Amino acid sequence: MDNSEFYEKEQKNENIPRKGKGRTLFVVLISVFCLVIFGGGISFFTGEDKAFSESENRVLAAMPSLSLYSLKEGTFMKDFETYLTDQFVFRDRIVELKTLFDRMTGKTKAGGVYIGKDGYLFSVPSSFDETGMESITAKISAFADSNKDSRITFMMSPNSSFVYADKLPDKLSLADQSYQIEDIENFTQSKSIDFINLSDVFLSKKDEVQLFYRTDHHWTTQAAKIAFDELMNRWKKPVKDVNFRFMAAADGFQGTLSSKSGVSSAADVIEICVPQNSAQTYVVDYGNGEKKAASLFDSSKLETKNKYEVFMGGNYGRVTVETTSSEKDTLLIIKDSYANCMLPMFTPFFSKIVVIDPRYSEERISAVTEENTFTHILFLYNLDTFLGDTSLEEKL
Amino acid sequence: MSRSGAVQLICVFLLIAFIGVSFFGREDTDKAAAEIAEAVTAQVSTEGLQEFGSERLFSQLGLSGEDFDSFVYYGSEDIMDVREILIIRGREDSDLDAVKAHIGKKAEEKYSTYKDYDPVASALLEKRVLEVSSGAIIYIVHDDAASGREAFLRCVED
Amino acid sequence: MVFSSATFLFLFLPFTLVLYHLKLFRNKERETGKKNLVLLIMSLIFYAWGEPVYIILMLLSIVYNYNAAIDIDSYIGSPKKKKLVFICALIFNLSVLGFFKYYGFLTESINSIFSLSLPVREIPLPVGISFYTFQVLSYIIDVYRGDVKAQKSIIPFATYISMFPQLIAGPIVQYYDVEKQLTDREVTAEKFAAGIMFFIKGLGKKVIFANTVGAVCTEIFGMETASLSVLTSWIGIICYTLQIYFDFSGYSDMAIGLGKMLGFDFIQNFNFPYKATSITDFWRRWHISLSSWFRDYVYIPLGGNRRGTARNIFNLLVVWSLTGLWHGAAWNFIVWGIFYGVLLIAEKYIFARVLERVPVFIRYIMTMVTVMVGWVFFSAENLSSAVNYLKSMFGLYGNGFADSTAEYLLSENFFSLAVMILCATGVFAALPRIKNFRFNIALMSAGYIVIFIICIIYLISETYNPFLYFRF
Repeated sequence: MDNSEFYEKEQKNENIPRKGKGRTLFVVLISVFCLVIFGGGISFFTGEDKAFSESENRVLAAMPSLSLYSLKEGTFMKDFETYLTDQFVFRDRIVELKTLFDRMTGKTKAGGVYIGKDGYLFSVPSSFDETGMESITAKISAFADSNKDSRITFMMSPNSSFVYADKLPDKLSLADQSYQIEDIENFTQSKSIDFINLSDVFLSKKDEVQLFYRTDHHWTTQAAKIAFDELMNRWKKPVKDVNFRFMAAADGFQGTLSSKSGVSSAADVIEICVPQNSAQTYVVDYGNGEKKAASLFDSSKLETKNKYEVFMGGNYGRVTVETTSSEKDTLLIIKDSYANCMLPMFTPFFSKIVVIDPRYSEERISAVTEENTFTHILFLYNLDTFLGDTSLEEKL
Repeated sequence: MSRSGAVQLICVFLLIAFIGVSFFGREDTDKAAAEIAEAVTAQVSTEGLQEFGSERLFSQLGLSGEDFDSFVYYGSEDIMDVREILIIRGREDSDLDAVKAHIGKKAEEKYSTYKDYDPVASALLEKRVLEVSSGAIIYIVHDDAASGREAFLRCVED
Repeated sequence: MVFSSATFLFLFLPFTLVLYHLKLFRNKERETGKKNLVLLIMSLIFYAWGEPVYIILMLLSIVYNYNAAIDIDSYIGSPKKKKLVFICALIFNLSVLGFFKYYGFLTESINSIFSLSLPVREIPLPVGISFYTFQVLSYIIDVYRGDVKAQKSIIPFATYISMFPQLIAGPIVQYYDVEKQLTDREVTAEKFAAGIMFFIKGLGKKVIFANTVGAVCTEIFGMETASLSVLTSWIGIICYTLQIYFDFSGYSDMAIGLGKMLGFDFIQNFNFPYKATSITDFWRRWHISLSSWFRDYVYIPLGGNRRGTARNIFNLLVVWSLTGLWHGAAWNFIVWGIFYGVLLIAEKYIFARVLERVPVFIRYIMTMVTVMVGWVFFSAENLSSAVNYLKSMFGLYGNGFADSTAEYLLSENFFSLAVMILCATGVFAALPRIKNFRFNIALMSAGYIVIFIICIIYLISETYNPFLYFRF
């Protein structure tokens, strides 16, 4: 609460500091004020510059270079202010304090993240742009029509703010993602696309299984498995023959929503799910032969801030998985990061899996389908990424 | 006329000169892109970058090289390396502001792809420079983008 | 440079204060001379930090007007010459302001009215030009009228024009008010402490209040106007109403506070405008230095209210169109100004009797609603979006009174809005107080220190910009 107004009248009337009376107290005020501004100033000169902020996970601004041009254009002054605030003493502590304040005053939104109940954090969903959706679904339909020999499925997941809407802050209601996904399905004209809207199955299971991380925008591996079963059911693949095992890979997971809002609430556990019984192995090629590995996991990432990278070790434009599976089927996945934790589940059922993330890929998807033939093609997206991303449309 | 009267007159002339120089006039540079690029790359290291032709310019930025008097384009083979240097010298009829807006949109898309994915690349993209001056454009994503910009302006405006 | 930046708070301000208060001369006059010089140099740096090129403009204006005033003063014997120099000075100052502030607006308006195609150029507006030009004009006019003597020494004059506390957002200090202080002023510990309090109060208004509530109204103004419910659009405009007051009066408070730290006393610029019970009352309390300027240099010279009703109405309309135009080069500002002109005329000539009989509370509500309608014109990008927003405020889009968005916004911001409204309307200030002076000072000091720390926390954490691996 600001009590400055409270004193305004006093200052105007009897309490304008006057000689003599209460002088020592003025000296206290003056000293503290000067201490703060001089102290802050001196700390710029004495403190060591940090190049990288661990808590914000970004490169901090360095002292801008001084030149006649940067002065004339004013860019020096602007960069200098960024430099000062980036390198300010106790910066991390200060940010924590601010978050604390906001929570105390009842704010339910911080850094563009809704702070929900039971430790759930939610990202603000992307808005639905009808014309954009019409044009991208037209592209997808055209792609499907030119790959009629493959079985093409489009699977889309809603986001946690829809599935766990009951955990949103009071009074907050957001757009119905189930309808939005249906709209996208209706826009998609091609007959050769099989569409899976995961909204209903998720809504029916949301209370027995934790489908989304509380502090991260991804779905959990449990949710991925439910989606996987739906898909295999459509594809008439015998999931029952394979034994899947869940293993906890890391606890204390504070995901992106936690960093973004500065709110560390309930930590989550990251699980991995691997097919068990078959003795088959696989070779993974991340990128164009740059990095070969025998695993779809990168356990070194469990030591880093972003533990979700344990799946596939991050994002790659193109990943090729060759398995020793006896199946003849081959699979192309065009996806966002939701697919990363699902990928290992496919390995018993396909001899070759190519995974394309259009955002980090330079090649056109049609080039990939011309070069190889696939029995199955899967588009796997969460609604939020699908609405906000333009790269799929460009690469198709 | 008094001395103070003379000073007032001088002030009026200086004001008119200031407005004239700042807002009206300034001819297009007669230098070709190669010459400007030379000045820029003298300040900005091109190590690890290579010069590309119009094919790449089109695939990366959607610009057609024939629309311009000349251009020089450096980029990297490695997709995770976002560094780029592009110098365009426009023709009389080219609408460089439209080209600038187009590149700006591309750059923003690229930035949003790397934002929240790769801290180093997005820091580079954050300090990218895109500017039109005297009939030429510079677009540069580089550690030394600021000095590249300075060299560019110095070269085209002199 | 703005006051609410790290550069100002932690580098510029401490450095300036040290240089300024470092005593070099025993002689009081020479010491004041040194202070003026320090203040001038630091003010030029302050301005150049934000406007590295346009500082040339300010320097030209200083040199020109300094000489013009001396000329006017020296032609006491020849009124014709005196008048010529004066008119030239008016033309000079008004054309600088006109070119840099209104060139784009003028060419666009002329083009659209006469369907011509004059070259339209976007000229970036030099920060503070409206403020310092008005200060210069007050000086030149006062010298011409003989109300003040021309300043013979350029340093105090340049200091007056460029003084960094009020340079970029007022208050518009008239030369007459600070003439004596320019050459004779004193800073006592008491005054310095009072300055700190004003400064922190202003900083708090800006950083804690205005920025917080500004985020809410940016969010609402960003929504599709036609889809807003009545309540949402009212929350939006209430937020804007609070934001503009805290932002602007906060800046004035900071300026007054900094002035005191340097030994100056500036006039009060805001006096609880949202406590006003009529439009006339509102304008006696809002941006007082601007209304006084227009009163002294436009309204009264035009004849004020001494030339009959018709002339008075004309004068009021002129003054209020100019007031609107002063706030920005666009039609919605002119409409906003005329809106107030018409209301003031109506209050004066039509409703004066009626209003006396209306209960104070009703008058207050009417005034605030009117003021908020005014802010719609002020905040909108253009006239048509202002009209659209008004439509949604009065339910003409048929979206109902409240929807879930409104409920969420209200529950989310209820506490902060309540506190801000109580502060802005002066309810806190009117609370009874303990009479013990020492106790009050102790409480105030502690309160201000806490507010200052909170401001710094807000300022620094505003730049919290985490990098996330969000793009998965």
